[in-house]
Amino acid sequence: QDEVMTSSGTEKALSLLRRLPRVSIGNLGPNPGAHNEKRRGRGIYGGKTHGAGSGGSGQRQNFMRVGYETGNTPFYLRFSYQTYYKGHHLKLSYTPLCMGKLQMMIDTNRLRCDVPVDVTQLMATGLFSISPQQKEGGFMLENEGIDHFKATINIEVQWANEAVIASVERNGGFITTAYFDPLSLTAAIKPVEFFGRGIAIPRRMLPPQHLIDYYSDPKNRGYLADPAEVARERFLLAQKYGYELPDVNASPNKDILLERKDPRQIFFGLEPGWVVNLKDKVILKPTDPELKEHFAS
Amino acid sequence: MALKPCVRQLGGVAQVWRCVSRSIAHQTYRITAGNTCHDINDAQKAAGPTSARLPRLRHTIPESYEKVEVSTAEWSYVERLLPLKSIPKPTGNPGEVMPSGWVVPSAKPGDYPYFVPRSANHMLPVYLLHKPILSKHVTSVKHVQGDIFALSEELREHLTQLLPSRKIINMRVHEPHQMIQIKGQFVTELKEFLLKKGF
Repeated sequence: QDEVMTSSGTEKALSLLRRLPRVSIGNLGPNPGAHNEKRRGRGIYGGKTHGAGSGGSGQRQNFMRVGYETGNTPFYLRFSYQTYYKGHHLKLSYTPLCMGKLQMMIDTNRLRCDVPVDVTQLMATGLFSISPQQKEGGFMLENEGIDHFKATINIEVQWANEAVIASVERNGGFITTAYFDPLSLTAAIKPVEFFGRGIAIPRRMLPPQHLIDYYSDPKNRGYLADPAEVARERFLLAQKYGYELPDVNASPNKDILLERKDPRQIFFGLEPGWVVNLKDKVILKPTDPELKEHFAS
Repeated sequence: MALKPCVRQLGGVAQVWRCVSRSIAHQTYRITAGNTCHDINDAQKAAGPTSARLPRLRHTIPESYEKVEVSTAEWSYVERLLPLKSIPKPTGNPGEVMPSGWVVPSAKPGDYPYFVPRSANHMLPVYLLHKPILSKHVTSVKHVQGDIFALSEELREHLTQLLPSRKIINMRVHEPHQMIQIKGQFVTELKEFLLKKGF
């Protein structure tokens, strides 16, 4: 008489159950092949669809990332560095200002010409943004529109080429290239914010090694160049480009045209060391001789 | 946890003393002209008994630095630096062409069934939307007041005349947004058309 029905499968299962730990959620899992593990294709960008996308996605505007070359190492990732970028973190970039735009700003009264034009006045138009922290040095004048430039202005920018200088001087104006170090530039572009900080106007620092030659050259009308040499270069440029240099003494804006900044000055008429109080509308000047000597140096 | 003092001279009015410490957050002590002496150890004590002890320093700012001369003689130079609060109005005779190519508007509302005013920057309200990835160019004329459909018909006529080879001019008149959109690049042509009208 067989009372126990022996089934090897059942016996095995029961013996397993006796040996194994208590069944719980924590020790249960699916059989291999139970779940279809889809490999995440990252959309159409290099996933399992070889860049084609699924279904009709090619007919819709599903663009791959810029530079993607359907799988092979793209050009922009092939090279870890380029020699032409060497030292780029030390170099300054300048906001381009075309002569045509400058003329348009003057025509529409956006830029005031009753005062000498410098970084502060150009920023006051509200048409530009300069971030000295991003290694931007200021403005550079571009050639576009030099033939139609008709204004007589006294302009101070950070970079100018020969043709631009000629177009300014041809109309009886004056152009100077001047360097502003990052802290001075921050003060110059937003004077109201700077005065609100309640600190003394700093001295403008001299240009770094690689720029000092540019700003000392009278051909570039550098602010560190000898004024006599600059005058000579003005005359020579007029001869080169074939125009007659207008006499500044005859012009009605003589005072504005002849105004120049000291190499250590950020703002016209305001000296380093002074504190401008916008609320009380006064200027506070140091009297201690040591401080005065420091700021005047 | 070293304290790194940084003194900034200010020409005598107010002095800012900044202590940089890893244990305490950046602290700025602003002291008035009366308080000339600041003991670095006050900040150290604030940091706690476990902070590193620096040699006992005493920074004194000379009293003569506080003496200032108040002046308003150069205030005109400060006023020069203040930017204008609003965009200045251009001056010039209506229809005058400036050296840069900018034209003073001469048309008045009522001259035509429509009126196209200048933008806030006194420029013509003709804009180009360009999406390079789609090769999409859409020229739009905005701020059109009055009978916008009359202007759209005139523009269509004008462009058909200019480009006889083009059979269809795709145009969209959006009356509530006061704008006309044309498929293609027609900024120069539309600006010339509007300037001729005096807008």
